[in-house]
Amino acid sequence: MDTNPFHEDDLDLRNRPEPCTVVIFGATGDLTHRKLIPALYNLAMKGDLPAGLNVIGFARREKSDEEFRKDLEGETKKNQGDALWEQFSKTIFYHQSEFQDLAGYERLRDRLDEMDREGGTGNRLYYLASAPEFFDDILTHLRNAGLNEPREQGWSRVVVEKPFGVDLPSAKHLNQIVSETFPERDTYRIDHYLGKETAQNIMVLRFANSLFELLWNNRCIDQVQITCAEHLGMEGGRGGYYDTAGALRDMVQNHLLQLLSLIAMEPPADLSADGVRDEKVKVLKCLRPMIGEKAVAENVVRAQYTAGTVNGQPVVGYRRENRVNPGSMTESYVALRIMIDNWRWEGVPFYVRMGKRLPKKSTEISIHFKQAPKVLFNALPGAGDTPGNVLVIRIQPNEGISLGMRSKLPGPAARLQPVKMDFDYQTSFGGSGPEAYQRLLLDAMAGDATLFARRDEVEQAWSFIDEIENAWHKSANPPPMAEFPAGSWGPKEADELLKERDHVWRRL
Amino acid sequence: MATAVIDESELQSLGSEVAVGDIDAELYRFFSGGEGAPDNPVGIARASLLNLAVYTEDSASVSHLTATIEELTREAACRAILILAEPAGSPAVRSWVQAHCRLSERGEKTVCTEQVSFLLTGANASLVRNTVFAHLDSDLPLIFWWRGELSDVFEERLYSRLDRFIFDSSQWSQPGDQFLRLSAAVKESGNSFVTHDLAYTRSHPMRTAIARVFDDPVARQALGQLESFEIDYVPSQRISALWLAAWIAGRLGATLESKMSSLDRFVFQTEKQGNFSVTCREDAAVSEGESPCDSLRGVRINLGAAGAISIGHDGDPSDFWRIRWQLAEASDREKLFPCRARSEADLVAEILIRAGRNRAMGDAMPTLRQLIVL
Repeated sequence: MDTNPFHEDDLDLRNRPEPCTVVIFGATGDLTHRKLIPALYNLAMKGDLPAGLNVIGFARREKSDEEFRKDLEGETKKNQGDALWEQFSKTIFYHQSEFQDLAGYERLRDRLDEMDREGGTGNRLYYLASAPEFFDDILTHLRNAGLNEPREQGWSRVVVEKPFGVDLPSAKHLNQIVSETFPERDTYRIDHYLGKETAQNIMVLRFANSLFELLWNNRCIDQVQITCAEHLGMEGGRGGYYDTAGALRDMVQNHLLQLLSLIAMEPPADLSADGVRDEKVKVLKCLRPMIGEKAVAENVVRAQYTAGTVNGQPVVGYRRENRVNPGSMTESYVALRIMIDNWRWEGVPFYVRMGKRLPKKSTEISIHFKQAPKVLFNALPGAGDTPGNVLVIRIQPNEGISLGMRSKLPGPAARLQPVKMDFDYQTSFGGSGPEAYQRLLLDAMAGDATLFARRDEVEQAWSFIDEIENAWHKSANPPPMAEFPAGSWGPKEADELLKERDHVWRRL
Repeated sequence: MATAVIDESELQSLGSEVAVGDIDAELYRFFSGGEGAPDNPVGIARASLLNLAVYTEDSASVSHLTATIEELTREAACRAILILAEPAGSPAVRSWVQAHCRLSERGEKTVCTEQVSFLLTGANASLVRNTVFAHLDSDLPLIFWWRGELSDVFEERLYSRLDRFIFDSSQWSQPGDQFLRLSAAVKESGNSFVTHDLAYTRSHPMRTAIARVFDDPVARQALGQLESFEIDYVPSQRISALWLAAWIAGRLGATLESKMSSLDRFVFQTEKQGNFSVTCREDAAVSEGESPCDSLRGVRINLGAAGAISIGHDGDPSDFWRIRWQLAEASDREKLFPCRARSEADLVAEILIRAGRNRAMGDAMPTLRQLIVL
């Protein structure tokens, strides 16, 4: 019998994950311990994992299965005597090998084949959670060991964690290696922002409500702002990695351009993975390139924080952070004015900003509608001082949507006051849904790539970002690095970027 | 006509008694931070995604129902309209309002939902209908939770305005007659409202577990040799077991061929699997209160020479069933599957959150009615 007759649409509407063995490369790393194994365990807790799922952790250190399971307990096991953990952990195994050692992959192949003989399905999900410099080796050896080939009726898929390259050439190189190993339909480039409920809700908001889509264009929208603010700095030794990446590459190239694409895309022909991704990539192709130092200086502000105060505590400046080069020219803050040269968005600036050591943690998208004509109430003195209609999509925290509008203040005078209608996921639904990795892992097991980035999306995004990076790091006259005190909302240069069009950053 | 006897102490659980005409003003006063409102400097958020009307003719259940509503509004934000109907006496209405509040998950603000309660003496269809319709939160769906036997109040002018109708057939003394009446109402309304039986909802974890069992390709292959399902249920939950039997038949495209002996043992016929039987047995060793997973204790699936699969508890009750695959074509395996005990509030909240057309239940209903009357 090919299909399972007992599944009901009413019980479970999403794609169904298929039994498989998940092989995690970089199994002793932070991502595996903090995100992947807890996500799988939480899925097991809810009964969402397919029967016959096994996990193999692949890493360099010597370790037995038992020791590996013990290591994972701390982050995952809910309480002593947890019967589910006792059973779930029995499906977790450890495989020791250097990433560069082909023999290790051949032993892995034998082990997987043995599992298949004992009732496995032949389905394999390879998760690259290692440091990115090992992706080449892992993919090459997977291919050389024949592990990329699907077994009989099974499938072989690969999930690739960010960063997917550090620039366009490296992304192309990685894509080339990936495509020599796995077909695009079996490649899942993870961007955990897309697994967040509010990010998924952007399409529902736009395409399931006639109210907004009719207004979603340059005739009604004045500007769009996308803000990703973090109050943290370089705690936990992250300065070492961050100083090689910077805000633009670490967050804008992937997460924020993905959000921008969802906001700006045309309605897809259908909700299939390629239907949605076709439209997203069209947006990226329409981003007006910033070629040369002048264009970059006019449209992008980069900055570093100096010493200041965050959450009442004094903090050091970026260049004095642990593992950061004291002479670093890496931006901890970036603000961009992005123009989308297509029919819908011509003339509408998309302001995107990302920064460390800002006053609070918040990721939001705000759609600023054009002002009503300056007649009647809006002709009154002071009417223009109040914000007009702003639709805010809060990605994290406090996931939700609010709509700002003007209202009459009670009393004989015709005075206007901004008011807000607010929808909050927690208030209405008592929560904000499963953690992003749970959703994305299930989708990968089910073969649904809608919430994963496609090759052309990644390359198109890098192509846009590389022009800016080149102006900063490879030109004779690079745009300056601005500064701002930690705990403030960024440099004044970023305010001036908006002031040119009489815009201001939204107060979060 | 006998005068209704109401225990006034039960009514205290309903909150502040107000005149019917003052209900909206009282709610407004509460949510605008007036007297009786929670003291939270960040403020109160009112949450409401739907109207939930709860109808009962059992005056002894008032405080239990209020506690149930409070519990379920944590999961499903709604305006609750509790109708306590006393068919005896002259027509009269008393009303109460209260709010159920909780701190949001992050502890930043107080999230509240309101409960409006009515005691209707001399209750008739007209009075109930008007009381419900006059106090709805506009534009939101109306879900009607009917507790107990269907009475004359359940009539066309009421049910034709509902979005969903929740009932519990395990509380019915004559389920065959009641299902017939309900089916006629659904047909008369042109399928305008969706029905949900709590007895069916109780079988949800077991249905999901059975579906998961056959995600396994070897098990799916073995389904061709299906011989029988054995369902054990806890006392008073026979209907849940029959629902499961009807659902299994429906999923396999089977039709009822016969009932064997005086037991609940049914033989079904399919084109692909041939004949198979389903036996529903009461597990008298377990009392209802002790059952860790609602109404169903366990299921065994016999697959002839291909082996067997069992779902059930192994030893002490826990929040999990143990699924065991003992199949000829694969080594024996086990997996734990969640099946935590669920209160009535959990079941209703699950229905409110899940929504949907509940097609699988609708598809199984004709077979269930056959099983009940046999």
